[in-house]
Amino acid sequence: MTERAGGVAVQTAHAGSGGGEGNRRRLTPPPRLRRPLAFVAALVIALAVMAVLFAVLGADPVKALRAMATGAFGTPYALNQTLQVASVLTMVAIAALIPFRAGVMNVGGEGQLAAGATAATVVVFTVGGGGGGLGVVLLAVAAAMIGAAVWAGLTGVLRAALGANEVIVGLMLNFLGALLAEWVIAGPWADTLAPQTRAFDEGTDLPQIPLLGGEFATALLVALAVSGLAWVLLDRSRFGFAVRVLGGNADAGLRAGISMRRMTVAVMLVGGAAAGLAASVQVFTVNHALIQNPAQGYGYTGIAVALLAGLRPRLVPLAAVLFAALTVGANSLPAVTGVSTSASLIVQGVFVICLIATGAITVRSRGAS
Amino acid sequence: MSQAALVTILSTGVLLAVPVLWAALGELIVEKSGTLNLGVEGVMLIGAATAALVVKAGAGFAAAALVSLPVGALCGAVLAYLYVSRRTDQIVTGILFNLVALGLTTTLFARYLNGVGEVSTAPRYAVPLLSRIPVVGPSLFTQTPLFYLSVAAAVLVLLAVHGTWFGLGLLSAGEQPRAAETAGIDVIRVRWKALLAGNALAGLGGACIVLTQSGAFLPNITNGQGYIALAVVVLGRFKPAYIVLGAVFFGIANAFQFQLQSLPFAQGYPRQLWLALPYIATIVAVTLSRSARYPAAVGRPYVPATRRG
Repeated sequence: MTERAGGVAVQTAHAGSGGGEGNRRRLTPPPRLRRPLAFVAALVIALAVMAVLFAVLGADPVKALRAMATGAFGTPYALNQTLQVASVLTMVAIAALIPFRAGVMNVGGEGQLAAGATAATVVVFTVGGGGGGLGVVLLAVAAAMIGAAVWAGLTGVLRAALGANEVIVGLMLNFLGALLAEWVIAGPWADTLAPQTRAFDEGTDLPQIPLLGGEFATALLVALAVSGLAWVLLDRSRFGFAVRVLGGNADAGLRAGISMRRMTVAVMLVGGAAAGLAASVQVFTVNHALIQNPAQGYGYTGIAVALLAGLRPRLVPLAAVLFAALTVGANSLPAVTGVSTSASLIVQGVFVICLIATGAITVRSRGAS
Repeated sequence: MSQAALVTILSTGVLLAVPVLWAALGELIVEKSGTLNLGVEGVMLIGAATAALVVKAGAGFAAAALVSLPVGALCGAVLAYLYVSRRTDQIVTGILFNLVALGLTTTLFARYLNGVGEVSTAPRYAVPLLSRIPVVGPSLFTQTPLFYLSVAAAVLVLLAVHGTWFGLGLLSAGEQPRAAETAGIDVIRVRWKALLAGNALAGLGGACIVLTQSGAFLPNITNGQGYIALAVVVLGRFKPAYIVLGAVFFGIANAFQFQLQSLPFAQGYPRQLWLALPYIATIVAVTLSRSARYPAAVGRPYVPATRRG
């Protein structure tokens, strides 16, 4: 495994159009329309795949899609839930996005969420005795960020110092994160009934800003702040410049003075901290306990969201709302159509794959090693 | 460790190695041709669900194993279209494919397989004479046919890669695709074939989980075994014989969690530690085997010279 210089290159289709791809003879729409058209086409294909699946499973596709729309946006409660999931997905997507831009493939969001949720829970039970006020909660949030950053940093260090493949290490740490949570759940704070820890004491919450009758506005604001911060960090700072150099998107002559190894660890630590923030939102506004498999697949959905946004932080919240709507909307599928909620994963995956296959989103990782 | 405990661990370890071994052999073919296929995890999952559906429909173990091959190849066709023909990023595409596979198989599970319960698993056959050797006999020579076949497949893969024109095309497409094309080899076609064959084997590997271990399909039943197969290929230094050993090593690391009652020393540690063992072993393995060299062109989509206008 050699140290390679390449990295993730992200560009929009129109930025790269006119290149010598050799399909000039084909009738192609004008560059400015290509990207939106690709998006619409990808969404139509994804929905068509799902409609076919519904039909095969014996469910009425129209009824199913309507159930999903109502489940995601139909009531204030549904809308509130969609925004909450979108907040978590925004932060997990940023956790994947920052390293991706540097050509470091962070596919370990799932494990980072689990490690963060576990760290927050340990603080609540050891420092707060199972609950507490704002002080305990903020300490737990900090612990979640550190815990998730450590989990991510482990991948970064193994990559930078020993040349280990960050994709395989990250994926393995996803399984280990879930086991870490399971181990803590089985410990002294176990709930007597469910496979989770005891619920935190009443009032162990993030500061609440009411919106739509829920407490998720805080999460929303935090998520928007995270994506804004990521934008500033990547596009307006020295750190962001180093990220572009590492990702191979800057002049090679400017590499001098930037340590590739240190930056590899740094982008993973920053990404991990964002995942930890996502984990604490999930713990304090949704679960109020440590549940089994605390990441619930959001780590992988977060990668899809980051890609859907073309690895641009400003677009992440929008992409997150779309995938949150698909995730939350799917919750009403079993009752209405008898189809599993997991069907939403198919739409999400097919949608992003179509975008990549049509070239609407271009991602280039460093490949193997 | 008593001899009985040793035999239990070894024989369970070999049983658990079979799915990873099939998948790793498939992945070896794919990587030799120059493609990194993270989708192997999802293909295994689809293979496992296929086997469970075929068994539920009333067919036998052999039929279930056989059906998983073309289904795996079909997944390979989808992946080949994306990786090779559309030249998408292989890591990202693989991860997304696995997301789709998880959604698809879990949906199928909820509709058709939930509550089916465990059916019996494929029987083991004792090899005459050899199975009577102490320790080795019950561990290696009292296994399901799928294990004996996987070892035979390792030999066949070795011969095919290093002794046929197809193998030569495979190696050149994975090492020097430009030179291969100049020599008249259709790199795109070779990589397509490798992905069809390799993912057929991965599908069979997934089927083995249901047919020889669990007896039933559960959501995300592969639990990272496809990713472990990727690590086994590197750990095995891209050589079929070492890959067999590597797969058995991971099988044994995996076996402890099922034998805690019979291992007094194991009970002093939390159960999760034994569950974590294969994943920790994988991290150690990929960290230590960094000197293993991937085929030079792995992970890089190939643009044929004829299309470069």
